[in-house]
Amino acid sequence: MTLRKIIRPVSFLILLLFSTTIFGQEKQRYSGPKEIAQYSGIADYQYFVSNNDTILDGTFKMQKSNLDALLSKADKTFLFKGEFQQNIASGLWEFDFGEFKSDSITEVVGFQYKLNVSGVQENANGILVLGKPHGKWVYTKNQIKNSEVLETLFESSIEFDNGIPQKNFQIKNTEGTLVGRFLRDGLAHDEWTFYSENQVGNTHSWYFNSGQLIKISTLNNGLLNEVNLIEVDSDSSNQTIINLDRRFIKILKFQNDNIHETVLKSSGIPSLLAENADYYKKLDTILSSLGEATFLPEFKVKVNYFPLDSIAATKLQNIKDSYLKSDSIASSFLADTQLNILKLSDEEANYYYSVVDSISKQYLYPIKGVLNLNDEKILEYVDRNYLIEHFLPNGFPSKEIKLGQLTGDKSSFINSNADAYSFSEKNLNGILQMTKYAEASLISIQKILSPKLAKEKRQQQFIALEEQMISQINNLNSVIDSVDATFPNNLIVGLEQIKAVANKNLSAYSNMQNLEEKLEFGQHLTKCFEHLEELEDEILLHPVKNQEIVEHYQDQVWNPFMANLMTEEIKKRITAAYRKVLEPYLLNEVSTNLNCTNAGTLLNLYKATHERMMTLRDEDTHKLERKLKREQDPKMVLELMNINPTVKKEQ
Amino acid sequence: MRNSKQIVWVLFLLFGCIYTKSFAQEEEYEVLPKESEYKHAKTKLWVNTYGKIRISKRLYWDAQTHFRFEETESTPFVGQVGQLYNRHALGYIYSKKVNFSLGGVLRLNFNTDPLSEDRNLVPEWRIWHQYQFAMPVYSATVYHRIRIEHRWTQGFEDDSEYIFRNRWRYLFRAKIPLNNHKLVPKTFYVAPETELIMQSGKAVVGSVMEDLRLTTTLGYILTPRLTVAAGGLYSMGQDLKNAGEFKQTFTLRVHMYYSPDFRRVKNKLPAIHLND
Repeated sequence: MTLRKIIRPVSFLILLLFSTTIFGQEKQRYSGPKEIAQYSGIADYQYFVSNNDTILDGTFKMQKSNLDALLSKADKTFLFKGEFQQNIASGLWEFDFGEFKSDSITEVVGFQYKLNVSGVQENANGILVLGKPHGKWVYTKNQIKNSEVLETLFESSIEFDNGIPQKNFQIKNTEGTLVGRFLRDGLAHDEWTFYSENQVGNTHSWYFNSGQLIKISTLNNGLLNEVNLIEVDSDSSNQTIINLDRRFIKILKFQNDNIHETVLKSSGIPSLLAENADYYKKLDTILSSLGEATFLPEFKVKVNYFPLDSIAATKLQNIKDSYLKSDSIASSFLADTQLNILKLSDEEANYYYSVVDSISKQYLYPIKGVLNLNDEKILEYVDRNYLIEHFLPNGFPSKEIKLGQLTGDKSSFINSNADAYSFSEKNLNGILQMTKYAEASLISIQKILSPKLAKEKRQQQFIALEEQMISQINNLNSVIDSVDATFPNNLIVGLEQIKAVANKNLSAYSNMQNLEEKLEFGQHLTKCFEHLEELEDEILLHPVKNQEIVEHYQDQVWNPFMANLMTEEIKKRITAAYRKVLEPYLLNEVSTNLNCTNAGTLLNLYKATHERMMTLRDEDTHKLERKLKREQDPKMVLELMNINPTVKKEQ
Repeated sequence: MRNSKQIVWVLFLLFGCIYTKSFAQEEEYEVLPKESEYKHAKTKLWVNTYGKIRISKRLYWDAQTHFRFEETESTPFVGQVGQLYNRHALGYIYSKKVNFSLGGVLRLNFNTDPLSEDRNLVPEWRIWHQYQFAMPVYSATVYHRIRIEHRWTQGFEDDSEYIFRNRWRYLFRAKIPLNNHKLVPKTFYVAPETELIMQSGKAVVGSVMEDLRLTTTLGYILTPRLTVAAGGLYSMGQDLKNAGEFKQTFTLRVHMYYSPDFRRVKNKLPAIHLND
């Protein structure tokens, strides 16, 4: 019994001991270089390791400043200081960014060197709770001169409650100051006013009601301009809450044309909000790459919502597919150099070019605008009716596409199946029909233009091909006239044969009727002529190359009786096999068996033989020389010498 | 006692030797004539092969075989075999222009005296070393050759003993190309040469000039490895027995020079240019 009594507490203690070793991580400290996002500097922080992951926990500090850089040019400094709890930024945080230059004049104060700096300094500080801003966050950007603040370039002061902006906020830069307030749930409320710094008295105000923008008023040089938005909103139940960011500004522009104008004029508010968002984004990037954080200020607003159901999504997809197809046809025609030249001389080509151009401008361009809105995820906040009005201010384009409205050209184009399309509905359906019509029109134009261009292209090919062939044949024919009287006769026979083969093939070409076959044969011939030209060069060089081989196979021998060096031919069996077997064989092949199909092979054989003769000299050819003795068959000699020209397949 | 007996024996032998030697000298004593006597000139034919077989970068084997004929009463030049001559050496190529060799000679001397009843064939042994220097002079090349031979010979008599002599030979030769500006294959050349052969040794009393040879040959270089030449030689020298008597010969010479190289090409390659 006593034992049992003891076992329980003891086993409990042991369990406790183990559990601490299992769950209790030991904190470690790191001090050294570190890189986060685009910042690299010296860090000093506490952490522990769990499942091979480094979990930041405790104080964190990272900074960079370089005196050498400051003195020589300019220094970019930063300092991040704060605390983490289980990898989540919590506690008091401070961020400093500086870009300083120095005049290098130092002063000793006490036991420290003092150095004045000038430049720009940014500072942000506040409290983070579970990675979200909490309490008052102030972000300032100051112009510094001689270590004193010269001017405040930017300052924002916003109060948060667990990441949600609260109460009043103030953002100002050199242009002006924006003052506004939020409801407890972060929705914009009441009057948000921008006071211009440059033109005193000018204000822009946005009036919100629980997040909904109801009125914009601008006061410019004493002129008051007010736009009420509440009328536009037919049904307030069709609303949703989004963040006040660039997207919202864009959505505003798509409410109606008046607002569009007004928003453009009251640019102070959106630009200040955007600048503030940029600075917050900067801090978010740093915190997110360290641990978990959500630092973007979520200013919330209400907007009209026109959700895209699955049918609408399918339609949009269809519009996109059809648009991409049409656009690729249109832009390939518009950029086609051949068509651009042809349209200058060909009436029909010019007509279709103009049609494609008009379709591109009247149909494809507006459709692209709609698709862009969808890509930016704004479409669902825009009234479809207004969408059509915005992108097609003159309504849907006519199916009969008018050309040259500016040039006074009266001609037009209408696709044969135009009746199958109707685009009068001011919604996605109408746009889809319009896109389909553009696609059908372009396809039918393509059917006319493509063969026309292909024919034109083939004619151009014939011209280029024949020009090339004529120049080649001229070269081939002129070579034989250029050789002098000392040129060996057997080589002249070869040259004559090359010339004959070339001329025979050319006349075969000119007698061909079928254009397709003729083009193909012509292409084959230019390649053949290329080989023949090279073969001619090879034969012209043959005496030189022979001499090269003779000289290559000379060796210096010391004669003990004369006490001097004499040159001696070495590896005589190899040179003899070349002189007596290979060389006559090669020349004979050219002068008797040459044709267009083997010209390339023969050319390679010539080259390969010469190359092989040049390499054989320095190889161990003991066995080869023995085998070459009395070998008269050129094919065998080629094989023994290992001459295998890579045979190019003739087309 | 025993020691003194031995000493007496040695002294006895010593005196005996001295006595016999002085007696022999007395016996072979020759009287010099009042004027030099030139003997009748013999006619000879020499067919000589000279081989220099390359065995390594610096070394070659010098192999010479000479067939020497001489007149009989009825046949001039080729009447009978005089000597068969085998000369071998190991040669060292110091540079293209300078080489040395060291080796031995076995010469078989045939008894050419028709009246002699002595042995018909006796061997002669030599150790020889040679130093040759070549110098280009315009298109020709001149050669200086110093050859030193240590020679053991014997007469044809049955009881003839070997006598030892040293020979001191200096040869000066020029090779002048005739149809070319240098000595290369397909070239004829003319080669005048003079060789003075001096000798010394106990057996040599007065007749120190063994031979003075004046030769001119006409040669043709067939290939870098084969040359042929032919020419005429007049020689004269003091008779060993009597310094006042001079032997004379007229010799026709036919020469073949060959220098094969059986080394594989890859072994030859670094050796071609020697020093340059």
